[in-house]
Amino acid sequence: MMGPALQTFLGILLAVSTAETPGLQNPLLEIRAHGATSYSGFAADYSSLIPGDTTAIPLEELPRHLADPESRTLALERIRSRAAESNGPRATRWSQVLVMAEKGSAQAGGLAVQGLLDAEAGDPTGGARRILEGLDGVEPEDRPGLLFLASDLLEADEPEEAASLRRQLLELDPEAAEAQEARLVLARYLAGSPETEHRDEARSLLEELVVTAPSHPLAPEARRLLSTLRNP
Amino acid sequence: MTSPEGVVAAVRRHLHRRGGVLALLGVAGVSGIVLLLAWALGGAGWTPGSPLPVLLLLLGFGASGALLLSVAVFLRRWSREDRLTREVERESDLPRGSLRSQLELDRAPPAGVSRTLIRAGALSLMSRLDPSPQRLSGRPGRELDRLLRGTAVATLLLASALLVVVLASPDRSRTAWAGLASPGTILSGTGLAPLTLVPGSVELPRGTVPSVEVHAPDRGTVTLYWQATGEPLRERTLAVESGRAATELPPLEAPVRYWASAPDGARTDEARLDPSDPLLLSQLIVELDFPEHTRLPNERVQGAPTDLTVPEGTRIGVQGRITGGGSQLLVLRGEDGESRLRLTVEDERFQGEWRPERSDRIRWEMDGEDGSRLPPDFELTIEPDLPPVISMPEPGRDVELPASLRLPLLIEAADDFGLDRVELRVALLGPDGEPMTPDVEAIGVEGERQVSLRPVLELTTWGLEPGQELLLAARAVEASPRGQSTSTPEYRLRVPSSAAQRGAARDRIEEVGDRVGELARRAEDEARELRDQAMDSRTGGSRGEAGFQEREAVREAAQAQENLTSEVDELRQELEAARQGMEGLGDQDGGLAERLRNLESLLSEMADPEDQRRLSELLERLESGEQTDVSADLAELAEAREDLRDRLEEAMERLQREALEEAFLGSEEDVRGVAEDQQALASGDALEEEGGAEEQDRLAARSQEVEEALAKLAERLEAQGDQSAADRAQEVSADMSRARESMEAAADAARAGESDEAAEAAEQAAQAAQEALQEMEEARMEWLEEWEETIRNALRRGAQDALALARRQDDIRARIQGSGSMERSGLQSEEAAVVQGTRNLATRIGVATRQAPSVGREVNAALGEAMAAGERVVEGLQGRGGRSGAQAAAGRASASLNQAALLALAGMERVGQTPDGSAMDDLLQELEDLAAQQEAVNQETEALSGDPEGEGASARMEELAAAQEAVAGQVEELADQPGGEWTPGDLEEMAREARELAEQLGEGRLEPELRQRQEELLERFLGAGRTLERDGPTEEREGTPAEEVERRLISPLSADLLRNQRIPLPTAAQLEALSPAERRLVLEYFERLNRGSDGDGTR
Repeated sequence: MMGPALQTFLGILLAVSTAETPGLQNPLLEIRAHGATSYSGFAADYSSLIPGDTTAIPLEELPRHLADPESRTLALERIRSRAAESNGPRATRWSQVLVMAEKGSAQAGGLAVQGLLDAEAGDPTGGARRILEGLDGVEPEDRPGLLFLASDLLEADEPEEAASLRRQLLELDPEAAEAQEARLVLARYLAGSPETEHRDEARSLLEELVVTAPSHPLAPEARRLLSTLRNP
Repeated sequence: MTSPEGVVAAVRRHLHRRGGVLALLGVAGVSGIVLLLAWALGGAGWTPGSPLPVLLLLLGFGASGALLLSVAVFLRRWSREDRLTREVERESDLPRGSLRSQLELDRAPPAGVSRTLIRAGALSLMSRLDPSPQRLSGRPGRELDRLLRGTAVATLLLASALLVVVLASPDRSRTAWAGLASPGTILSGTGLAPLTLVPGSVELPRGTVPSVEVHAPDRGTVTLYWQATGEPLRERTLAVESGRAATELPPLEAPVRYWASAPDGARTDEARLDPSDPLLLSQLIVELDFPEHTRLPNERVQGAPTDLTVPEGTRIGVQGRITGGGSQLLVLRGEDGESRLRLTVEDERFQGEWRPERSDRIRWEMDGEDGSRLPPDFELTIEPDLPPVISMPEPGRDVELPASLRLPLLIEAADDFGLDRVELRVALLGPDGEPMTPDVEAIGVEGERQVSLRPVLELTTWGLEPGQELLLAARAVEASPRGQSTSTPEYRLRVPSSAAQRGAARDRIEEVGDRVGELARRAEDEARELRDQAMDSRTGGSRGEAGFQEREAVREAAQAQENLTSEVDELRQELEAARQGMEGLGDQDGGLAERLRNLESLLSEMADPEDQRRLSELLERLESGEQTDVSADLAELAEAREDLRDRLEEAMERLQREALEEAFLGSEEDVRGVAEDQQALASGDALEEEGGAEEQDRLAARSQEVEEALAKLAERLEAQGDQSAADRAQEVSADMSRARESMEAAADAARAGESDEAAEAAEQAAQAAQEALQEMEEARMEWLEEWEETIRNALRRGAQDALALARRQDDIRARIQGSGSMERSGLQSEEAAVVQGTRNLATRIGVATRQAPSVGREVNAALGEAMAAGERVVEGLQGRGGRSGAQAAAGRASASLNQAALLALAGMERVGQTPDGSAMDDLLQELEDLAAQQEAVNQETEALSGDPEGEGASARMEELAAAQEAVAGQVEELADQPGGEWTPGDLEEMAREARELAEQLGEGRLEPELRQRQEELLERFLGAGRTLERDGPTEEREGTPAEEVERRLISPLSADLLRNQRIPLPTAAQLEALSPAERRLVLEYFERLNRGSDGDGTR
């Protein structure tokens, strides 16, 4: 009473059993290397987030697969699973990369992935640089997201440059999806400056956020910060 | 009296006076006697010609004359001087002749006689005379006195008697004395007309009340006198009108003599009324036994009936007694002379009955006698039992069924004696236009004479198709044994076209949307009012025990909440009715039906169970009189109202969106319809045929309607802010306008006989309509895509914002560790800002995903968890739970925010691509049902294969084949349903497989291969369901048919593979060749293989 799927399984099993023992090239082992000891070790919502294939693509091959129409979906699912299995800021960054990869061009997505991978490899600055270097090769509408990611990667080590990138983002597309957050983060940075004009700029940024998007999720924080600035 | 002469004169005068009085009294007495005699003789009236009045008068005159003469003679005699003087001398004891001589001396004194002596002698005489003339009158005086006294007494007595008779019988007195006043008239008998009595002397039936008339011309009144035998005389004065006076006498039980008289003395002869006994019969009773269905109570007629009117079927019973007579047979005979009832008399009694069938005039007859003493004839009228009447004012004509396929009817029926039932007959017209077997439903009316029924014709389960027709009629059947019936005319009911059905359903969506909007506004107003009331209550200090008014205000507010949800449920029922109507028609527009179902679900969720529970608890508290905080209750109600408002607003937006989408779709369908019909008209020769021009005109008119509908659609789209779509709708309208112009030109040309021009114009119209259709399809898709893109953008933004919040949360989490109390204070406010921001995000996501609620719910659920975690962060920073707790909560908040972002991104793919979840549920349910059926077939096949030649095996085989065939049919239906394309696997191929299996079963071939194929089919059903449940449909999903897989020789796994090492996984390239479902199964399989081998090599 075997269905065709099971027959296929067995076929694959046979094929696999006769193949060489794979090593770390096995993409699934990549997952285990990051903490999962079994497929059940994935995040609880694994099944709802990953309806299809999940783990076959190595992370470093993601840019290639994002550019390939036939495997793009798998690549996106790979990123999603990566985000789902991660915690904390890493999860957030992978989710951010997913946003960019979903919305933007393949180049932009690939660039974002590469930059993040560099950062996870211990070189966030290098990752940011890679992103910035590839900026000209992407569509203009994709650049704000990349600038945002780059600024996020530089935040810890190069805060001033990160701030500069955020300014660039705001100049490039003040209505971008990342613009409000850029304003807030830039304002936070500027608010900590001893220079009055920086604090003024911070106030101006916050006021702009509060006025143009009073119900934005970051508006409460902006108001709080603004209040702090007004009443030091 | 100074001289003897004087004395004599005085005495003479005295006598004359007395005599005069006596004469007067005597005449009076005579008159009295005459009057009394007249009263006695003529009191009843004088017969014309009667001499009595004259005689009485003569007698009176005579008596009076005699009396007067007597008195005169007496006076003359006693007035002589010699007798007079003698009486005076006697009375005075004077010597006889003394007075006379004195008188002579006084008159003629002789010569020589002294006058003085004469005078002295006179004086001496005078001194011896009594001064009273009365005493001097002597015997004549005394006689006169005596007569006078007697006459006075007699006259007084007569006067008294007259007074009595006048007072006692003034009419009689008047009548009698009137005759005396005109004795000549009475004697002559001329002047006034005689009186006449009617009926005169007659015989009347005993007991009859006689009516008597007196003809008395020129009289004002007459007096009627009558006397029954043994009774006193009675009289009655009657007023005469127009020369007649009438009255009724008492019932005639004994002979009566009677007559009349007039005041003028006229009198009729005496007449006689004799009672007769017309009924030979006695104790006659006629019983009327009415038919049961008339529900009339039986009647009894005592005595002879006059006229009888009875309903048809009445039984007439006759019974009585015959007194006298010798006949033994009483017959009731009809007008035709035939006997209707023959009653044999036994012991003077008779009894019988008959049931007359027709109206008749019945005559009583005694066998052998002329029947003169029998009851009179009577009319027997038989009221026929009329058939019932019935009408059906609603619909009252041929109509088109409403979209709900429920048609309210009004049927009015009546019957003279009551109805048994009213039947409703509905027959479907077949393809040949002939009615099929009608469906008859009887409504019992329990004998009511008049009914007005309002049934609702429910046709949703008839499986009707658009355009079909039915015949509707009602029939009333009476409750009588004849069971007469009457039917209404037949009315044609047309099943609305699919377009009309869908149009009605769409209109209903829009109406419901508007009404939900009104309810939302009402909820808003009520919430505001409740807030104000809560505020007033709080500031008024009415905490604790609430006054009656306040409690009533709360109760009313709670009731208003229930009313709102109840109204929403009514709206849901309207949508349900519209959907059922469409489904009842077998409408293939599953999309619209599905949308209606989803909207129904949406409205059914308006009543939040938690709100309902709190409302019920509140009402219970109020009912029990429990102390309650009015302010808090009002605030609670306000909150519930606001929640309801939010849900209503969401529902309203959904409904409005759906209505607009359906309007768009409806317009597209209309354009398609016109384009297709125009194409058909242009491509054939229909335009040249008879009626072609008219058909073209109708299409042109339809095109006009479509133009107008498109213009309205454009307005709505513009109002909605979809300017681009509005512009395109206008363009389509312009295209349709061009098409219409060409249609009109084609129609004109066709009418003019210019076939070439007509064909060319028709072709142009078809082309323009086709362009319009294409434009319309593109416009709609573009509009849908724009809308979907709007939602996707909102979700993308939402994901971005969630990640922004996640970053804030991560930052806070990182700074919690090692933070001092001052910093924690700042972190609290930052965290509070993040929580508020998350709330803002949830609101924005909710609003944006109102058209894709399942996505919105998932994302907001994650955001809800983030908010809850954020609040725990705040609590931890406040010292409750400690920094570690705060940090952990911050981590969870961050994870939830990331989760929300991922869900939002995942949701983007689902927007506008797949059927809604409920349709997926239906598909899953159908697949499960198919699997269950197939499993049952498989089990039965397995059982049958164990004993293929057993008893009943052949029949069971046939049943199995039929069951397998049914599975095939259901799979085919599933494939045809909207959404069926989302079912994994090739449904059509599965259906073919099932049909082949059914054929084999039908041929009785129970081969092992057949059972194996059945199992495989079952597995495919199960697999399709699992895949659908896990994966959901995606753009790239494809159903792949089951293919034959070459069975390879499977050798056992080598021991090395299973010992202390994990089995390597397939490569990406290998897995890419499989479908997503297969990949998953493969991976899980490998996971199970590798499970338990971690570290210790055990399995």
